[in-house]
Formats: sequence, C-alpha cells, structure tokens
Amino acid sequence: MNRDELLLSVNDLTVSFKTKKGMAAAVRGVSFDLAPGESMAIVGESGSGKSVSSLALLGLLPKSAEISGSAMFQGEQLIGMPEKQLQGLRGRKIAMIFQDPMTAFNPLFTIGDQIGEAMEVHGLASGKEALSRSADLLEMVGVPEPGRRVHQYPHEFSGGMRQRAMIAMAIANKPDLLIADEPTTALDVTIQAQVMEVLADIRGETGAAMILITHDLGLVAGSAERVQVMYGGRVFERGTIRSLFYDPRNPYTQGLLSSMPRVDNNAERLVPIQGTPPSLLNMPSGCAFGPRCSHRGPECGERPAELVEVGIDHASRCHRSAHIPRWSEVSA
Amino acid sequence: MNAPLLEVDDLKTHFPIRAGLLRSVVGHVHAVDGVSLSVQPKETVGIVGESGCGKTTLGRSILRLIEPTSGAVRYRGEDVIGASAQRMQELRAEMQIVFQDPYASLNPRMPVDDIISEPLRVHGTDKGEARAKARELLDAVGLLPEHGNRYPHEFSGGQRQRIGIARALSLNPNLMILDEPVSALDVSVQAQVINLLDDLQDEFDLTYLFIAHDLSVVRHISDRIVVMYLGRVAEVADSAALYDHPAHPYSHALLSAVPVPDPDLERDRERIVLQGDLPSPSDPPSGCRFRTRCPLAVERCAEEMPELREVAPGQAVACHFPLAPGETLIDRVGALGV
Amino acid sequence: MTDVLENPTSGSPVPSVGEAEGLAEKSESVGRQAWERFRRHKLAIVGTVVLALLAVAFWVGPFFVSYGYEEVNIIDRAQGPSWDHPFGTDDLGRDLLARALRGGQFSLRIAIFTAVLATSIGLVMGAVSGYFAGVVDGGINFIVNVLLVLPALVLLALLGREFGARPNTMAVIIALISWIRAARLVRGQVLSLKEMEYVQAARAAGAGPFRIIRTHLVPNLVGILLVEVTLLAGTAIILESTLSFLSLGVQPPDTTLGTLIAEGKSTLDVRPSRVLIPGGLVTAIILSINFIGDAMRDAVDPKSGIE
Repeated sequence: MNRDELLLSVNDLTVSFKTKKGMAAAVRGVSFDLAPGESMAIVGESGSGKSVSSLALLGLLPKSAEISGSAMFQGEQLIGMPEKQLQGLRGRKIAMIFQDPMTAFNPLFTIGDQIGEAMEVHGLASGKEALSRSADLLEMVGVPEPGRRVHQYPHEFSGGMRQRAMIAMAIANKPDLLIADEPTTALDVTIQAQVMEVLADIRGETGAAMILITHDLGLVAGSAERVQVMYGGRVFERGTIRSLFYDPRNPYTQGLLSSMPRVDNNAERLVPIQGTPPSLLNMPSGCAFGPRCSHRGPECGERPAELVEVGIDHASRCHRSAHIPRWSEVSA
Repeated sequence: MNAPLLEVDDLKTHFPIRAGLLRSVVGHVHAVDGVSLSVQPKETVGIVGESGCGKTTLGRSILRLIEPTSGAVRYRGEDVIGASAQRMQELRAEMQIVFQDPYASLNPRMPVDDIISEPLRVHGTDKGEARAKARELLDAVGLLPEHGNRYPHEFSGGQRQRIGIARALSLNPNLMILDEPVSALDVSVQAQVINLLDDLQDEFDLTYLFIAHDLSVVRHISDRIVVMYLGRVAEVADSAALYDHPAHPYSHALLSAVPVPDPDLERDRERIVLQGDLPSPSDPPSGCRFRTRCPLAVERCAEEMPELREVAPGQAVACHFPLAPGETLIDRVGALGV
Repeated sequence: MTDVLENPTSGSPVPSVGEAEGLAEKSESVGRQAWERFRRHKLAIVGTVVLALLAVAFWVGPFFVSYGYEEVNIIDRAQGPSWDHPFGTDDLGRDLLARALRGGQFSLRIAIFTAVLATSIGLVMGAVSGYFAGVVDGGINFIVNVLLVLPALVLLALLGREFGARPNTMAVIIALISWIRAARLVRGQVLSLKEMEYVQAARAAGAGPFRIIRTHLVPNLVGILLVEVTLLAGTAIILESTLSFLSLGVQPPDTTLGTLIAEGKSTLDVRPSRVLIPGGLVTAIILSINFIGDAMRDAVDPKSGIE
C-alpha cells in the first residue's frame, strides 16, 4: 500500500522508563502500519509492552517515560508533538476505550454531561444539541431508554452499560482510529459478547480503524484482521489472523496457543510454556523468550533475533525459524 | 454410586442490606439461594457462572467461612453446618481452599515456610516438623525447597499460586475448593498451574470443587459441571455432555459467548448474544431467575420457579422448556417465530 | 541471579526470570534481613546514637554536675552561661544544666512511655473492635466518641490534679486520652485486612481470632503503629509542657523540658539560651524518634528490598 494512504505508520517505537533500579525498556522497536478502517490486534501477556506502545502514541505516558521512534498519523508526527496539539487529536481523531469503565467516568457528573463534554471540548456541539447527540450515541451502542439514561450518573450504570457509554463517548466525534485497551477484560463473557458486537457494528457504521489490545487470543480470532504478538517489548510474530492461528511460526505464539484450554475441544493435557514472563528490569540477553523456549539453540542466548518475513504478510522473530516445526505437526 | 464425599442440600446464604441511621435491615442479597449438589470422592466438579451468580459465596459457605442462612452441608455424611467449634476445626483439615488472588492470599510479612506451615501449626504440629513438611510441599508444587525463607513478593504470580496450593495441601485434605485459582494468571502460566492441579489430584487422591468464570478452563479440568445463575443451579451435567448439548438456554448462551482461538469457527458460529444485564441479587425476578434475559421465556416462567430435574442420565436442568439434544437455542427461537 | 523453577511435567529445570530476581543469593535469617534494611537509613543510625547519648547524659550526667537540680542559690540567680554554670541559672539561681538533665529524664520517659502505652491501648482496642465488629465494636466506639467529645485539656487537668505530679502517672494519664487516633487507624486497617484472602485462608485452616490477630493482623499494622508512636512521642512532650505550664503537671522543684521552655519564654529577648537549649533537646529527641521510627517501618517490611 502507498504510504500516503496509511492511517497510522509506526516505526521503531521505543519506550523506556526511569526507575529506581535503572532503565526499564517496555517497548523495544515496534513498527506497524494501519490502513484506514482496518482492525488490528496486539496480543501479549502482562509486561509485554502491548498497552504502553499505544499510550505512547497518544502521549499519555508519565514524564518519566523516554520515547523515541516515529508514528505518523494522517501525515502528522505524533512522537514529540506538543501537548496542546495532541489534545486536539485525542478524543477527536483518535479515541481510547479503557479496561475499567468505572474510573473512566467522573462520578460527579451525569453520563450525558460527560459524553457532551467530549464534543464540547472539540467545539463540535454544545448545550442542548450535545445532550441530544449524547442520547443518540447511547442508542447507537445499545443502551436502552437513552433519553432517560443521559441524565443518570455512572454508578447507576452496570459494568456492561458503562462500557457501552464509554464506547459512545469514544465515537462521539467520529474518530478515525479507536484504540481499545482490554475493553472487555472486566466484563462477564455474555456481556463481553454484547460489547464486542457493539464495537463491530459501530466500526461498520463509522468506518473507524481499530487497534484492539488484549491478552485473549480467542477475542482476537473473532474481531481483528491482523495481529501482532508481543513479548518482552518486541513484536514476535505478526500476520493476518488466518496465518497466525492456522500457521503460527514463532515458538512463543505456538506455545500460547497450545497452553490455552479450549471450550470447543478438550485436550487431555495442556502444553504450558515453562517459566514466567521476564521482568522489564531483567531482560534475558539475546532472545527475550530464549530461556523459556523449547527450541532454543546456542545463538538464542547471544543476540536478539530479527523480525523476518516467513510468508505473505507474515513475519516471525526467531533465530531458528528453519527448525521450528509447522503448527499442523505440533497440534496434531 | 458410591457415597458422596460432599453433599450440599438447599443451601441458602443471604446477606442483610442495612440502611439508614439505625442500620436497620431493608432487604437481603440472595447470594446463594437454594443450591443442592453432590461431589463424589476423587471427582472434579466445576462451578461456572458470571459475576454475581453466587459461586464464590457458595464455596465459602460450604467451608463456613461465611455462615450460611439455611440448608445443609454434609461431609462424608456428617453435618458440617451444625458441627461444634472443635469438630469444625478437625473438619477444616479435611476441606481446604485455594484463592484467586495470588497477591492478597499470602501474608506479605510472613516467609513462605511459615505461610505453608501455618495450618499445621494451628493443628498443633511443632515448629521443626511443620517447617520440614513445608519444604516437602514446596517440592511437591514445583518450587525449590530452599526458597522457603523468602517472602511472597519475591515470587511471580504463578509461583505464588503454587505456594497457596502448598498451604492448602499441608493438612492432607480430601476436598479442595479452588476458587478461581488460575484466573489472575497469564495464559502461559495458567496452563502450568492447571497441569499441577491435575498431577496433585492423582498424587494425593484429591477431590476438587473448581469454581471459575472461564468456561474453557472449567471444561478442561472438570468431570462434571454445575452452571449457576443468580444464586441458583441452572444445569448440572457431565463435562462433555454440557458442552455437546446444553439443555438450559443460559448454558447454551454462555457457551456460545466464549470466544475460541479459531478465526473460521468464530466467523461461522451462531452466537447468541443475550440481551440485558444480570438482575440484582437483592431483588431476583419471580419464577425462573433467567426469564428476564431468556429468549424463550413465556408467562409460566414468571409464575413458577423451575425445579432441577433430570433430562438425561447425569444431566439435570432447571428449566420449564429445556433444549433437546442437538437442538440449539437458535432453532428453538426460529420455531417459536420470535 | 536466576531463580530455578522445577517443572513438574518434564522434570527439566527451567530458569525463571520473573519478579523473583534481585534476591540476596545467600539465605539470611529474618532478623538479619531486618537489620540490613534498618542499617540503610543513615539518619536512623544518627538518631539512635543521639538518643543513646542523650539518655546517658540525662541519667548519668547529674552525677558529674556540681549542683543539684533543686539547689537554690539566690546570689547566682538569672545568670548567663559561664564556666561554673554552663547553661546559666534561673530566677532562683538553680543551675540550668542540672535542671535540663533532670527535665530531659522526665520528658524522655514521658515521651516514650506515653507513646508506647497509648499505641498499645490503641492497637488492642482498634484490633478487637475492627475484628469482632458488632457489640464489641459498638462499645469501643462509644468510649471513643465520649473521649472525643470531652475536651482533652479539661480531662487532663482533672486527672492531673487528682493523680498527677509523678512522671509515670503523667504518662499514663496522657496515654489514656491519646490512644483514640491509634485505635481508629488500627480499626480501619483491620476492617480491610480481615477481608484479605490470607486471613480467610487462616480461618479455613482453623485458626482462631487471637491467632489471626497476632500473626496476620499485627505484623501488617506495625508500619502505621510506628508512625503513630513517633507522632505521639512529640505530642506527649508538648501536652506535658502545657500541663506543667498550667501547674498541673510535674510539680516544682521537679521539672521537665517543656516546663523549662515555658519558664524561659519570659526572658526570651534577653536570654534566648533559656529557651533554645531545652527546645533544642526536645527537637533532638523528637527527630531521633522519628528517624528511628521510619527505619523500623522499613525494617519490618520485607518488601522494602535490599539493593
């Protein structure tokens, strides 16, 4: 695709935090492109850097974070953009949906006020108009009786309804990009299904692109077109959902899939990945996954592997790609 | 059928809601509202349901960590609810619990040896012997015995959960109540702990009551599954039967909502998205608890509470109109012309 | 360092690099680890030394001073510092060095005794009230509310007049009205701690309430209790001097640092040393206790890791 047509192009994004025990590199050179309307998932376990990378794009990290690299959004450089200018983008062109809908709303104002506020900040609507638009938005995300609910306070909403209200707030200004950070992790599975359905419908209507950040591979399979698997601050594998779920090439991705119990078929015994994810302060030298990898060789301890193409629109970061059995053999 | 290890009979645990200046009782939360189930020795029974279904309260009521309001719990036929304080102390050695949160469930000020050996010390084992046993248990759960003098914060989430399991094992219990033991863990670590639980069950002849909201995990580990909704049992069935042909509309909807890591299956499957939210357990709906969200609900469902009845050998369901094997909720809704 | 997690499925040791990094390689005893954490606070070491020196001076010093604290000498009254009277003399010609040492003895005793006593009462009351709730909690809350409503100073004055005068009774009296804050802190803390799963786990193991309070609640309360002790030590010295100022405290010719400051205030313009010297001693005592308290809080917290 032509670079000018891209919505977002991230190149070599690196984020480190100053801590008492030294520098912690949370994201180490992440690159990806996102086309308008596209849906991409970033999957990883805790400490993989999946959330930090998107917070860095929006300038939402604390001052102790050192960010480098480039992120072009609609032709504008996000990294190093002045706060004032970022504020103009946040909530208007790029909107965020967080995991915990309770803390995302101010308990002292009504839901309608807060959705309206999101529009007023960017001068897109105000007063009565903002309130009636808020009600429309709540209706769009499936909140019953929106005319009454706009006057209610966040504590009067259930968890699922609050998450819908947050989606309504996020789409209030018709953003071009939605970043959903674990949007359903705090919700029950039946409510999760409702919310994911709402998100899909909304994207269908507004044409917004989405970055879905999650630890749940199952959720990814049903709601994204492309996936990046992150581990220890790096992208370990990226590809279309089909290539990633049916032909995963990286030992970490394979390990994740085989350690998941599945509701649709029952394995006699799970095959876990040994050990625990590395701490940011104590990354193994060489490949971050090396110490836990069952295919490791001598080179894995020496230097980090490069992300190399292993197929069409499919890349894996592994020194021993040639020695990794194909998934069809592993899962058989 | 053998004599069950654990029987729960019409157990109810209601919490008073207090309000006003005098803290007078204005209502009750019906957290557990008439649950009956039985567990055979060496069996794993899974209890699934969404938040607010009462599964955690049920687990704690069985152990009397929360005193139930009414009903009976029998361990090897012996009444647990009416047991004297002294007898209860002895019974506690037989029935242990593992908690969800690997951070909140270990006292941060205690070295791991002391944490694991505390139950032994409570039951009168002397210090040296208790410590030796703690080290043995560390080994049994896959940790290094010499790490016993370290503090909980020095371990990762998965390792802490192993410590919690070692503590529960210290009194050689028969029954272990596992309350969301893996839901706080990363996927790759979760599988390690599940396998460990499998191994320990064989090694120590344990009986598990496995409480979780994650249906994939429950399916993997359980022989039989109890589906709870709003304080009551919706369905009980063998693990395979439940996943193959759920009879309760709620079980069916719940299963269809679980995402699977398979893009084609995800795209093609018929997902039943339930409407609405869980009603408040302080004011549960009349009749069938599920009727406010059930696509099949008719007048009778509001008037008459369905009793749990057997629809197939080993499969019992609390629904006036259970689904037949092979029938899906979508077929039924289509046939009704809703 | 690497931490080896034995894998029960394959039996092959796999190095795990989770949060378990940064452990001391050698296994040290719990007490030794606590001492290591204490020692890292340089100020606490200074505080300990200062407090020890002061205590020695207060108790041993008087044997080396040629004047008694109650010895009146009208001729030498109201003098500035000199070789004979290093701290000067007061309006009755009593040696201020001897009086500062005597006052220091009492103030230090009152500060430490009161703080420890009040915190202990607060701990017991707060823990019992938080853990058992119900009637016990109601009863203790009633006492707390009554004490809060009664003006502390009036109560102190009444009790002081009835039983006062001796430093130990003073300390007990001050403690009896100042345990409330500690009790409320502890109660709040216990209410949340008792819901922690490790307390539930102890109950599931059959542990009784007193064992749970002793092994699970108290160790987790030590942090806030130590802060409370250091705050109370300061409050006690000040309360005592207020009482002494109202002539309800330690009775002359005996004295305390608070009394000395109060006496010196009238001549602050001419002889600031009469306030500065006892004032400096009070400051030194309170600061030292504060530093030690801070370090002890870290020492008892295994999470404040060793670098």
